[in-house]
Order: sequence, then structure tokens, then C-alpha cells
Amino acid sequence: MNHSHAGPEPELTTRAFRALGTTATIVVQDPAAADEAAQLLAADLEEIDRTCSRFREDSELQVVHAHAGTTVQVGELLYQALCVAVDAAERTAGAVDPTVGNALAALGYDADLDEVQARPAAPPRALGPVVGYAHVQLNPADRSVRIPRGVRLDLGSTAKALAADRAADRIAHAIGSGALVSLGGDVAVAGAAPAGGWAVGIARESSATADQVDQVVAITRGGLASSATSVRAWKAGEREVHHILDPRTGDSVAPYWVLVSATGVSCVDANLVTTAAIVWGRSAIERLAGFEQAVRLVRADGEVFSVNGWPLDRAA
Amino acid sequence: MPRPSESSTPAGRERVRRRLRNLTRVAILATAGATAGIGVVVAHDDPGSSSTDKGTSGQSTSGTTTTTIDGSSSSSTGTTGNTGTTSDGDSGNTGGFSTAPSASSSSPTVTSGGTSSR
Repeated sequence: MNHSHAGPEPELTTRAFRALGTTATIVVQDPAAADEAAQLLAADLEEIDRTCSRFREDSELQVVHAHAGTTVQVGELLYQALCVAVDAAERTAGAVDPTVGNALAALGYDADLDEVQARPAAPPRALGPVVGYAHVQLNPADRSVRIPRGVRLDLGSTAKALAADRAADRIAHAIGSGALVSLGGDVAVAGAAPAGGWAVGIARESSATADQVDQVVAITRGGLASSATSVRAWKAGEREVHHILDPRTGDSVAPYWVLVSATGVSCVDANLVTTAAIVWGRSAIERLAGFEQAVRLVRADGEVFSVNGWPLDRAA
Repeated sequence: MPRPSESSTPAGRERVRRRLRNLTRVAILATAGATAGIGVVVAHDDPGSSSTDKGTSGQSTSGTTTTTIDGSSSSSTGTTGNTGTTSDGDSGNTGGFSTAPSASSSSPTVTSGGTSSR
């Protein structure tokens, strides 16, 4: 997919391709740099997938799983991804917890989502509270990690957000101008922004087209992320479940909020509050008072709430 | 294997500093909440409003509620707290939400929403 915006709006060049089970998009202001930027993004995402995937048997994360109960040294990228995941857990008081790998698998999410959605629905296996991030031991001195025996990690959303942040920074530096990276709607920008900022549509689903978005906002730095309960969903027995779990129950969160979007100093910073808000449910707005990220929340009945400076939707 | 002291690394120190900052904000919110009965930073969207000014605050008397207690707002309604008056020794604007987006009338370059497998 390639397209440009002409006329009074800044001319931007887009490249998009499949990666990490979704669509990866790179947008640059310099058309001549688009191909180089796309190649850099593809290489970055392959490295993230090879490092952090819980579905690939050859990923470095699987080495940590295979050595659960013992200490294992890991590479720089995986160590960074683990630190980001644990930090997100600490900042959200455990609402975003990387030790949900087994719980997701028990609900049936043990392969790429397309495969999960295509196969016959199976009832969930036993569900229960997850072990908890506090049991993930990280030692920066030798870049080692130890997880409890039997635990499996899911770095899912934080690793994707980290990938967007890393790629945007790397690409902007390499091409010497501004860049936007979107990984299934998790957006990071770096370098100089176009006049008026990077325009990002907000919609229930990241594949929504420009005329289907609920709101358009502009960012000039950092990141913007969204979490929704209706998109990454599948059948577990008789009920529909989705990919955001409450670590206290190990079960899919009842959707009080159906879409939460946020901006932050990075995509990781934005992503952690969108996921946490879904988990927090009714108490999310009160809890968000302790954060600086601007947040937009859509309740299941369609009511929209703007928190910490997120602009109000324009009248239809 | 013990984890290093949280304050022993730059990232750890930043986390501690952020928590202290947030605690300050929450404390001020609690104070404001005692008066306003509201302790959150929220704008309940009014479909008829075109306001995109994050400083907008207050509580409408019409059927639709618009309630903003915003870090950058300076409420004159007396119904909201102002978290933006906290000072943390940094920019003095912890509630300034400097990464908050602005409303845009441009065509979106990308869409953010639930991560589609498409």
C-alpha cells in the first residue's frame, strides 16, 4: 500500500506490510527515504519477533521458558523488552503483567491469532491468578533473567510498543528526517514532525479507513496507542474472550471500556495505560489521575471520556 | 537472585521520582475532591461540543455533563480541582500533559485502534 497526501496537507509517503500478526506502517516526509525506511522497519520487526515471540519455537524468549526455574543470560534486546514489561507492571500495580503467558494459552491463545480464530472453539482450561511480575528476576549486572518454573511470559503489547519506539528512533536517525511507525495502531514518531503534526485517526479497529475513524488527533512526539476488547477476540467454548487478561483472575476482562487510546512520551508509555485502563474497568478514570498520559476512553455503552488533556471529539 | 535496589539505576530513580510526583498529584486531587466531590481528570464528552481546548473545565447545567479537572486548567466554576498547580521541581507543570494530542482536521495518516490482524 502506497499513498501520498497532496494539497494543503504535508506530503507524506507511506509503506505498509505484514509483520507481527498485523500491519506495519512507516510514514516519512522524504519520499526518497521511504524504501530505506521500510527496509529498516522490516529488519527491526524481524529481530523483535525472533527475540520476543511466544509462538515461535526458535525465539529467544523460548530459551527463557525452557530454563524456567534457573537463571539464564539473555541478549540486549530481550533484556530490554523484559525490563520494559516489568516496569509497565510496576507502574500499573500489576494490571499489565508479563506472566500471563499460561493464562492466555489456557484461554486458547497459544498461536497466531488467525490460527486461533480459525479452529473450532475449545472450552478454556483451568483459569486462575497469574504468578505475578514480582517473581521475574532481572539482573542488569550480567543481563540475566530467572522466571519461576512452569511460568510462560507474554511480552505482547509492551514488546510491540517497544518495537515501534525503537524503529521510529532508528529510522528517523538513519534518514535524517521525521518518521512515524505504526504497528497495528501502536504509533511512535521521531524526528521533526510535519506541519500540523502527525495526524492519527482513532477507531475501534486499526484497519479502519480514514473515513471510518471517530476522531483525528495530531501528535508531534512520543507515541500513541490504543487497546480494544473487540478486535483480538475468539471463542473459548461458548463465550467470546479477548487478549487482555486480568492478572488477578487469569481470565479475559469483562469489557467495561471497549476502546482506550492514550498518548505518552513513548509508545510504551501510552500502551501501558491503555491496557491497564481496560483491566481496571470502572475504576480506570480514578486511577488515571496518577498518570500524566492523555487518555480517551469509550465505554461499552458508547459514552466517550477524555482524561488528562485528550481533546474532546468534534461534533459529528 | 535479588533485584537491584530501585534507586540504584537511572531508570529506578526516575520511577521513584515519578511515583513521588504522582503521589503529590493524587494528594492534591484528594484535597480538591473534598470540595468538588470529584477526584479525577476527566472530560465527559459532549457530542454537541466542539471545544478542543484542554483547559475547558466545569460542569454543565444542561443534560450533558462536561466535567474536566485538567492539569492545565484553571477552573472558575469551583467544581473542579486543578492538579496543574503541583510543583515537582521539574517544569513545575506535572499536570501539563505535554504529550497530549491536539485535535486535527487533517486526513489521518494512520489509524490507532484495537490491533487488527489485517
